[in-house]
Amino acid sequence: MGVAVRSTKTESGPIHYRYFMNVGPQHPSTHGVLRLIIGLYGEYVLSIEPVIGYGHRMHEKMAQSRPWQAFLPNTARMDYACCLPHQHCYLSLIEQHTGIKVPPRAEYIRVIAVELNRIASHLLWLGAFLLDLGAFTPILYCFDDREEVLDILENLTGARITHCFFRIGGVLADIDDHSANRIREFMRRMRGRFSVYHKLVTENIIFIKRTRDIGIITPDMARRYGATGPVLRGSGIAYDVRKQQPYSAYRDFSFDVPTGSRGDCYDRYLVRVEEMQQSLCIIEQALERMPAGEIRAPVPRTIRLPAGQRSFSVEGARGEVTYYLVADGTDTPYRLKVRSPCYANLNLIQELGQGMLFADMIATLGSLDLVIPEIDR
Amino acid sequence: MHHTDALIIALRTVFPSITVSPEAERGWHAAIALAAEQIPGAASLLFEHGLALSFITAVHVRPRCELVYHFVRWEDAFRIVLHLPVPENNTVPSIAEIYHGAAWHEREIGEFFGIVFSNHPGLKPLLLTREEKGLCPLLRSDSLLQSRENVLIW
Amino acid sequence: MDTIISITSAFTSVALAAAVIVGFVFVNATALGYIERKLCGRFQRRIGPMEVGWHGILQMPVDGIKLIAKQLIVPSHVAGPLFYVAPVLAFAPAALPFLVMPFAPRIQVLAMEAGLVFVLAVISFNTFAVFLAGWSSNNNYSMIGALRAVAQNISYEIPILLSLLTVVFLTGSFNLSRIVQVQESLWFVLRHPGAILAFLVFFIAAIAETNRAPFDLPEAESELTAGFHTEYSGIAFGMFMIAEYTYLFVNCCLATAVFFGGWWGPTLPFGQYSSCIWFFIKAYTLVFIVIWCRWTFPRVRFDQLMNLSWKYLIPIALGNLLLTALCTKL
Repeated sequence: MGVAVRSTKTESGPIHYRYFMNVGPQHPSTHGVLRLIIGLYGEYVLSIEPVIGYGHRMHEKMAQSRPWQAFLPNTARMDYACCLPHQHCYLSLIEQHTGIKVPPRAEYIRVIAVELNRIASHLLWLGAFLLDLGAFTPILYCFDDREEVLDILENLTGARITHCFFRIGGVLADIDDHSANRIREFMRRMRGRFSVYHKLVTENIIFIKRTRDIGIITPDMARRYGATGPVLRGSGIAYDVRKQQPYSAYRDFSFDVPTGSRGDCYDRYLVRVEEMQQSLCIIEQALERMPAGEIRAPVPRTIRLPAGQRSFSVEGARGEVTYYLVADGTDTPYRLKVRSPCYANLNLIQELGQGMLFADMIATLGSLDLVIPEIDR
Repeated sequence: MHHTDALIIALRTVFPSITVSPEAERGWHAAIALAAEQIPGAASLLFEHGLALSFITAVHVRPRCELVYHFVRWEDAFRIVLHLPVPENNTVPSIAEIYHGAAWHEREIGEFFGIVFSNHPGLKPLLLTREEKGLCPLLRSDSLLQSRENVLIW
Repeated sequence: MDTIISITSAFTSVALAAAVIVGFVFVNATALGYIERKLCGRFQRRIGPMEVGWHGILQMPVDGIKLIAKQLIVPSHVAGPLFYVAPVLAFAPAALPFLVMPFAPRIQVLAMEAGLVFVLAVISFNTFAVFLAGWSSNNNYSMIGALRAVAQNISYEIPILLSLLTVVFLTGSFNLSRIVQVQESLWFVLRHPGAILAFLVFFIAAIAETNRAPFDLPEAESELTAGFHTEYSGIAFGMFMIAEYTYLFVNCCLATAVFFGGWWGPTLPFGQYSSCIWFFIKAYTLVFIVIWCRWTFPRVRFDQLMNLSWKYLIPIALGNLLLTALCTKL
């Protein structure tokens, strides 16, 4: 009665006893309007078919139907958890394409803002991931810390989530002594918090048992699906755009690219936690060496995009963000493509989830750190 | 340095038209223009040399749409772009067999531009609803359409 | 005439006992709900409910009224009568174990010889209600929740029984008040190494038996949205909640009576009645530990849960039982 058994052409094997479960679009573990049609055999997952597009807004059409400046707020509305890399990517693309040089101080401020945003995003993920595993408390601890980051970013950018902080040729506001001190204070606090997370989460036996050797992504699988970011680095590939192809001011800072060894959920967790520490490291260096000078280059009032094509990649919190622009000489992009990392990272679950237990599939899904509006665009 | 790369040498034998630049001036290091039937072969070659698919997209230009494939090598962020003018029958071979991640990109292009991918495991709409079938929102009207050589410059 | 009077007085006392117990079940569930929410708030660096009454003390009654006043939404695809019966079946037997629970020397409704057996029999009835709820909901999430609940409860009843038998071996009685009386000089958990082990096994198994985190798989909300009670709303959902809290408390009471010396504690005036304070302090301390576990640990996976019972708890409890039996005989 409760279970719909669908008989298929295959008369033998578990396919015969497969039933379907509709996870989402309203489900606690899909973190947004993602729907997964899961074929189950008992509690074993036989097939996963993601259904996306519930939050599709056609950002790419918006980009090509109005001047390029008008798309700036859109960049904050794709990856709501970490929007500044998107904005950074879009503006760097436009600046490179039009030959506008950004003052070094502005680049430093951009890096600080982006790294703060990355920490906020990883904290959000950490809480949500543990919620997927059934631990209710860590998310409150994470939100407590994230609140501090959001306060700093609010003070800096004027928004808590959908920051629109970067401007062509620079940034909107300077980091003054007050803001710098707040950031330093947050860094002190955050460095002390990692031991709390390690005690509460990393060393928790149930957490280790739930994530070790679960959802192993091999480098080959990651390559076939184009996974990037912590999902890829968890599998031992040290691909970080900030390191491999330094943009903005990232060449000036020394930081490590943490990688995992097994490619399981636990490795992805460790990579993200270590990345937060590396981000703190970058922020510290940036604050120390912040060059004096302008925060915004003088730019002409109207900027036309010269005909031609160009792409630009940055490292977002979830992986490589690439914007690809085709311009025709007007001030409106002829075509703008947004490559969002979650798109490829979610794609992978179709293969990864097969044969897993349902609970492991949820854990693996959580470890991918999906932001659905970014996939739907 | 990229001129001596094993990948570049292998590509140059198959695609003599490859343009290589030492710096990523436009965001990529090498670009190839190829014909539709060459794409599975090119994709296999890139896969063998350890490149990952970054994304696939299309641009609507005169006379017909052009597909743009972006690949990246993780070790040194070496990026390569394949340009592929869509032939008259509007059908391009799919590379989803080689790069599994391409399946979604091709579905997306299929619904946004109306391009058909042959050999695709399931070419149904990805982001749009069933009612919006055939909408092709990213196709431009004739008045806004530019010809290929005006915009796709590298 | 005498018969009528005795029947009437018996009836009065039964009615009184029933009223007191049902009242206690509600008050206890309300109190536990409030305690849990306050404690959870503290564990999570929050302050918990603060708005209704002094420090939010009226939050739970208000929530209860809300649940009662809410419309019951019954999906069209559920299996009619069974769907309605399930919450009642979950809720009704939950009060029964208090009949034989020795809160104090004079506070016990029924000094039943086989009190322990009675409590265990009633507790296992919960499985039936949970399964019925999941089955009749006609929903895959509920169904998986129900199947998990049955497998889990059957697996964990065995270690519960084995660990309690250890104490029965030590006392030679199933009578709960007798088990408590034996512990006058020293609690079992302090007196006998076998009892310590038995208590640990019992406590872990009891958390699993009552479907509390980290073993709350039948209602694992990140996987099964709400598990077996996904389709229930309003007071039907509330009944499951009350039942859950009551069974939790029953298990803690059982542990108090069997392992922690029940009502024994420093002597109080009117000790025949007032010593129930010690009983409640011990029971609520155990409840506190259960709540603490819930808000600290992630959820285990289903096969891990099964392994824990069959590979560890049952062999340990069995070995412990044999050793204890051997010791008592020697």
